[in-house]
Amino acid sequence: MVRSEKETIDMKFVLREYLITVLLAKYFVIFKKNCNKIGSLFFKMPCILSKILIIRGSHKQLPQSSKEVIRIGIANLYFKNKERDSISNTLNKANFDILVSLEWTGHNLDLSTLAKSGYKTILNVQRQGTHGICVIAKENMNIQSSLIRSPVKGPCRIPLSISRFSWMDKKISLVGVHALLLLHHAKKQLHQL
Amino acid sequence: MRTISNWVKDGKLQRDIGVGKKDDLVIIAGDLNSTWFQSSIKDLMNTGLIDAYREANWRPGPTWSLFKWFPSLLRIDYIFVSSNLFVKNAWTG
Repeated sequence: MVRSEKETIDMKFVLREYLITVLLAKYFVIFKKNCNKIGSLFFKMPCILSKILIIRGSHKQLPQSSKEVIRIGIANLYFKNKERDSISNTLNKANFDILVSLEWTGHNLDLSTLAKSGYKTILNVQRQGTHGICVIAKENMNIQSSLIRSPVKGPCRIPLSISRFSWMDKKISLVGVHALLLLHHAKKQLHQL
Repeated sequence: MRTISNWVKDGKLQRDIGVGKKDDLVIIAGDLNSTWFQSSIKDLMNTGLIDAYREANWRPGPTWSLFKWFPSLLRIDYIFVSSNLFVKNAWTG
């Protein structure tokens, strides 16, 4: 749907995620000091807490595609994944209109299964490791896609995809991104909280 | 991510990139390997893009775990959409 007016970010979400992250950071410090007591309350407590927090919905709760609704998905296929049939069936059932798949090696997703369900491959860049990318869309979609070089310099540059389609008289560019893991940077910022 | 943030303003593409044309509405989908408190995510949210999952859900929707045996606790996968588009629902799995 096209938004009629801008909405501001709900601060409740920011506060909630801030509190969860601080709690988890504190937990990891406690767990590190007590790691010889695996099975203790220190270990079980956050697992139970996280289970409560992360009860996931289902793609079945999402609205079905229509003139006003488009379903867009992103999937990291994981380049070492050997369960290609399982992942192909899951993505097929999710019924996306457009799906951007990352870490596509040519072996970790069965495109023929998806083709039988009415998907066409828009972009097919098979690479070893994490650098592959694949864009598929429903047959009835008028969509073009291209690969663009990563703007990041260095040996770990991962290419991006950009796809363009029309929807409700709007031209939309969909950028598929796989960013580098900057774990040391994240840890530094976590300590600053 | 900062470079990509520079491509977008008010939820629209600022220049031609690949098949994308200037003034197209933008959707950025990906494994950003970043959490909400990192500057890369904040930069994106300052360009007129909204986090689709956050817009539609109150739960965190984590997608990443530090260890295979540990439950996922942080979300690093996102779909950012132009604020000119309306998010009806979003899901992580």
